Amino acid sequence: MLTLVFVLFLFAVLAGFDVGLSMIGAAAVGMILHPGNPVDLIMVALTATNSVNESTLVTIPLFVLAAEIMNHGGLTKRLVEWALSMIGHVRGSLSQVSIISNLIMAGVSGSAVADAAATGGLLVPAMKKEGYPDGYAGAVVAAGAMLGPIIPPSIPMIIYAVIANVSVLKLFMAGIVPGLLLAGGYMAICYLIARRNNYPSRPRQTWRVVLATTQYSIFALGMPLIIILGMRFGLVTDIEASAVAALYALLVSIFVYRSIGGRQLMRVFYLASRSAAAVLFLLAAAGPFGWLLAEAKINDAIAAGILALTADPLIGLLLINVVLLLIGCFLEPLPALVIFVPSLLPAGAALGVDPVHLGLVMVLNLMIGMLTPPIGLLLFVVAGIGSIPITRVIRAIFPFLLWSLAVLLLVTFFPAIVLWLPNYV
Amino acid sequence: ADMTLRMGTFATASSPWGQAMRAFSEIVEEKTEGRIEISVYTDGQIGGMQQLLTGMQLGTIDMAYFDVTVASFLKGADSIKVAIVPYLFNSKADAAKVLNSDLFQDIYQEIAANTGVRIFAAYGDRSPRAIQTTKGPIVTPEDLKGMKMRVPGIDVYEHTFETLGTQITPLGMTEIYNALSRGIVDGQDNGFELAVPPKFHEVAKYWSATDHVYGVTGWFISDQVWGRLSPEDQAIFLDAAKEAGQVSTDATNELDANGLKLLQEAGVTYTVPDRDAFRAALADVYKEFEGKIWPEGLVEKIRAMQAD
Amino acid sequence: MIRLHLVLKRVESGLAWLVRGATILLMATILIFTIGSASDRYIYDTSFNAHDQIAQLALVWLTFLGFMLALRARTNIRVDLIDGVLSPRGLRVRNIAGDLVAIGLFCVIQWKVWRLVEVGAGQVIMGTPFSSALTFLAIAVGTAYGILVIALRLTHTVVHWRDSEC
Ligand code: NA
Ligand code: NA
Repeated sequence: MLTLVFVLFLFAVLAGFDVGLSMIGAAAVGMILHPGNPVDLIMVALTATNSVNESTLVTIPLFVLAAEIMNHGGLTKRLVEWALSMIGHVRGSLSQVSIISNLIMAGVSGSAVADAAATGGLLVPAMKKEGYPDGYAGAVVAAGAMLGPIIPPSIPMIIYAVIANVSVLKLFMAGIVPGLLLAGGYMAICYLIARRNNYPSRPRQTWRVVLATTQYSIFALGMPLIIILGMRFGLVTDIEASAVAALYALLVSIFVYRSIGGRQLMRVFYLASRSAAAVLFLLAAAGPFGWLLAEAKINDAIAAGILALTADPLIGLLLINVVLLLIGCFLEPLPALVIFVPSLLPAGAALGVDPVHLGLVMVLNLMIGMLTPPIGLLLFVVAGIGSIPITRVIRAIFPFLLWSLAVLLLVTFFPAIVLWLPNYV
Repeated sequence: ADMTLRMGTFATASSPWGQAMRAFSEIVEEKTEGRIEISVYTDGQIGGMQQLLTGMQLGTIDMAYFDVTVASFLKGADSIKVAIVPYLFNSKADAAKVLNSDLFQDIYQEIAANTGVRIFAAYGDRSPRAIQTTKGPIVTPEDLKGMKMRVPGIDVYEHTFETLGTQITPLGMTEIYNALSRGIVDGQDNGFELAVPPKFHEVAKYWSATDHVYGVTGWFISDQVWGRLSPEDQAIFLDAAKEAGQVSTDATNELDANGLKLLQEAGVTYTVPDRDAFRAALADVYKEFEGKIWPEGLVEKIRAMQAD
Repeated sequence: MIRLHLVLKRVESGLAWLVRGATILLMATILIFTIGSASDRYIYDTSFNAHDQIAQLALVWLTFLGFMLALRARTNIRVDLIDGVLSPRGLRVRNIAGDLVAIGLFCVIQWKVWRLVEVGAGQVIMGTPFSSALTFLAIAVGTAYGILVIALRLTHTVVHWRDSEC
């Protein structure tokens, strides 16, 4: 029955139907054909509603709103100009700026989708204008945005920490080194590709210009700082920080830059609502699908299967990775975490894997899933923002995907890379 | 099997509740000679608190196991909130005795009629609630004055802590650790079972064993399903609930003993406060709700049951 | 027939205007109540402790109303893998099939969801005067609106089928 559900889902997605609706449709068929006792289809409405009836998820629309305001209010533009004044002379500087802006955003937000919306809205058109192929421009932003939940703060890490009873702080610390490794690799890839394709760079700026640009963009540059300080000094929770980000961007746009008026404000709110809802609906649609998987105890079967195959922690972790990569092709990180962490956790414990290590590996793996076709949310988001055919983004993402997988392998086999920093907490 | 039932909770598989549910499933399967099978789902996999309650109302989820007072999210089950009146019970044993008495069977009957969800037994002692803070130690109620506390978003808890002069900050369970570490809140009031696994003691170094609430876990069932069971099977369920509840109680007691050791090793200051002072400070909390969310005189009746 | 269709179209765009306004208000609600839960700790001390519950309720509504607007504007999330391969006619057939699937699923949800709303009316959202009926109403209203949007889009395609053929 579940095979049919998967096949049906894949067919509908590849045919180009709405991804969320494909998921709901396949799940509904699975509920009707449920062996033994059929599941009342009322569960579709119940599980879809409940999977978005979750207070941590308010960060998604709020970060998307912050991004939309930053774009319309000129904050993102100033951030980019500042980064350009610093590293504009490097070959392919705009693509480097994309990675760096995303790294800064990652320190503020815990949501990759919001980061992609924030930086993509500005950088994809800018790169296209400088002659970068659109698919590549989208891929750079998608890869950069993936850093969001790896560098703390991170929504998926909080969710894992709660299910697995590990300290949130330790897991956050564990993300820093892999996050920097990923970012460094992405920048190297950007450099190599830019050199081969002769993407443009700009003349080196004098320190006077750098200083003037810094002054000019000081309010935009101050944004991550204010949010990070607000969280570190206990003024706001992680969830409230997303609202502070939106409010800050709003106040700066209205009173400092005077770039957003009343009517435009409505439009910004509307656009943000619409694009946030498209993403949120995907999470809602994962509700019935995930419920069906959990009800059939697929998760337990997979965990038992891994334990039956090996007793070696490294091979076990490798198998877990393979399974998660497959899951990541179809499911988004949040539903995947809720469904699979509870059964993979005891399997990991039986193999002797450190739970912080396992958490980092799982989160990193599922984030990579956001870049893998066919269901890679980040690919969809950048394709949507930049009006780029998804196939071209998919083709251009491969070098970044390969490096991400290399980092995944590295942290899988050398736990010390992720565990030394948390040990200082 | 003639009947397969889905039973869920939001606690983890290895928690006392998870262990108890598996025990319940085994006992029922054995005593009904395989006629009734019970699939156990932990970790909120087929639903968190609200989805499990809704599922039982609809009949798509059959059973659940969590604190009896969770029922208060349903309209017409308000009276169950009386169980979180501070210092209502003198001991864990009294709490279990009262919550399985005829007095409460009547309340459960009324809840089942009003909501479609039935509590058919209440077995499984929970860790006593305590006050864990980043500032301390907390010995008397005065020590808490002006602190920001995270407590569950239920009016009786909130009124309890407002009476103690603290400011209430509502937060989800997932936010408590960060909030404590950054001073967004100064304290929380879960017992060992919920405070030790997420390692709140890494950031909140004062533990005051107030024992202000002795909680008990309830065995919930969809009333439609309960009605389909024969009286013999209902009796089997009751016995199984009692036996499996003991599994939960034993596991919780072990967890509490280990928790104390673990806190001391982590350098936490463990205090047994002046409980009489807390009891006195909170003596009138229930009056705010008498005759409003539970019948007038219920608290008196419950106290009388423990007097002998 | 065509005149009726034009009237319906006007009604639809009026409704879309309303729904758009609603999503703007919902987003503002999420923002204000999330900020409120922070400022409440510093600026004033009220007995209202359910900011997060209100923001969460608005989030559910935003999801289902906003998605229908995305569907209407065709900015919903989908994979355009075969779009380049299909002929214009094939593309149109696929879009119609997609709309039919969507309308079918929305109808299934409509058939079941009202029982859920009924049950939700018996559940309290702690700290607020609302019941969960309001939560479940979001998907009920959202899918009802979705049916309307797509039904009109389909009639539009049928009415204009011949024009676009040549
Ligand atoms: Na982050
Ligand atoms: Na994927």
